[in-house]
Amino acid sequence: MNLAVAADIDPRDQLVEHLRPLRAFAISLTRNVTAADDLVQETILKAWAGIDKFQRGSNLQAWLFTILRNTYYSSLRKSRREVADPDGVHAATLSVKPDHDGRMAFTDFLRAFDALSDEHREVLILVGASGFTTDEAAAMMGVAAGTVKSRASRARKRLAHLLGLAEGEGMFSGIDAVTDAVIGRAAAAME
Amino acid sequence: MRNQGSKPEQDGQVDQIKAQIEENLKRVYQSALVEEVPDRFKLLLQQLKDKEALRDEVQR
Repeated sequence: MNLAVAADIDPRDQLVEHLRPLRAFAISLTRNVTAADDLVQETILKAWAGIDKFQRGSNLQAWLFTILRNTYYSSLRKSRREVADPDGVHAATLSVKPDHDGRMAFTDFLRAFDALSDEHREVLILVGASGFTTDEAAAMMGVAAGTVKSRASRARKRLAHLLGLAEGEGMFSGIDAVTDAVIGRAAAAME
Repeated sequence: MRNQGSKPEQDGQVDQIKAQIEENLKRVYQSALVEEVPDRFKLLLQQLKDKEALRDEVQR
């Protein structure tokens, strides 16, 4: 009985409940509110028009996220930003050392996060931050679960590098050897 | 000289850095999640719904 009721609900009426996470994903992915809002708008239009393709009873949020990331990547392919730097616009190492109390500043972290590639930002947000499982993320990204894991691992390592937490980058000459060893091992442990 | 020894307090620091990266990743998403969604999206959904209702009416 309940199932019949659930099946009767038009998923289009549920879209409004997913606006907030959808926009949060868009902002995390594009790191640009204007671009994120354009993306959300396009996603809503596509979802509305293609609602018949949504399998009732499955995860509507995951379906919307999938539309959004596919839209994002196809628009990227179309515009092919004129940046000859596939690893990120600001690939230079930022040299962020944890404060003396051991905490890294969020603004520094954001700079490093922004410098990641889109694919790396995506996997870290989907798996690490927004709480999807590896399998769910794999379905959204259209890749195998193993690919999600290895991509997430590479993304974390890259992030550690950008934060200046990587081994052998010489960012910490002049800093005591213990600190140097610790951050080196932190980066190594991300693998 | 790099100290390759694995002292307990160093392991603690490694774990701390890893935990902070995870914590900051969550914060990136969470800080976007608490943002108020602009009205234009709710408006857009309403417009789409109205348009659909109108079309259904015409077809009837």
